[in-house]
Amino acid sequence: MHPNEMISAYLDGELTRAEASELFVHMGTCGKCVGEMETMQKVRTAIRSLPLIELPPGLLGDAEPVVVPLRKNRGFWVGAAAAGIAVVIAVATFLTPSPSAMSVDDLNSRFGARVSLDPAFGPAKVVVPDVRDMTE
Amino acid sequence: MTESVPLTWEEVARVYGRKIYNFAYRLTGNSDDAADLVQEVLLRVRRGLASYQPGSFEGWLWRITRNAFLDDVRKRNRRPVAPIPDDIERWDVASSPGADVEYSRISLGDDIQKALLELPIEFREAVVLCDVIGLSYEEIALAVAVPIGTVRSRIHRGRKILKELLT
Repeated sequence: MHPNEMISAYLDGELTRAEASELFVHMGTCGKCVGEMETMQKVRTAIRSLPLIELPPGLLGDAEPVVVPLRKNRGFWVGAAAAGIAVVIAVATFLTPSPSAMSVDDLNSRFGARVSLDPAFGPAKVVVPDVRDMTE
Repeated sequence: MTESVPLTWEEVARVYGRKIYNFAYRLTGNSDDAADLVQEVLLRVRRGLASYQPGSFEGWLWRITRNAFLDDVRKRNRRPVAPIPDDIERWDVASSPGADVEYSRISLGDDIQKALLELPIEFREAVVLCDVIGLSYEEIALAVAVPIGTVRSRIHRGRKILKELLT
């Protein structure tokens, strides 16, 4: 059973952490869903690239429109980057009390590789799967 | 989500007019129908603001907007002739001022717009509210009056159909 609908929800930043973990555990062994993620991302980007249509002059009468961004929610990338950075900071803070015990190389080898793989998969890859999360 | 509520319909028009027009345009693919829909929505907002209960203003506003759209679709379906245009050359954009400018902008995304018009309405409105207007799934669920799981399913299936139509 492929978690198809979770793919779009993940791209929209609408999955819980537990659901994202579940999705990525599945994708670790399912090339079909990895391909589906790439395809859905392209379609989503294409729809979001539709140009803004300006209001016909005079449609609102005296109520001149205020120029506000059409889309108010943050892009997926902003959310993903913010989540990734937050986890990196949390990990670094946790490790700080014993700086001599771990070099930057050690840190990179333990956590950096996972963070830097692909920002699209940031939030799930930097989250260490937690059995309690999976059973929520 | 609780938000501050615009006090007058003029403020709703100023702040949301452009969003409502873009929603209407992407759903109808037609500037005249979109303009009519904006005016109908603002009329309903004007009537409804008197009895508005604080809550999710966006949920309330988009519920009014999509209901106005659906009412219009039902009305059209009762008429014998009201085909959805499948050819951009036939779209009636030449009647409004600045039509050349508008047409050149539309043509950039005409394939996607045509594909959107082929989507069943429930998928089309979910995709447009998400990807064009930028509502959260929770806000879409409020606007469309379905569970969030249904919103999730409609957005994914809508995008999948679009992908098939575009390839």
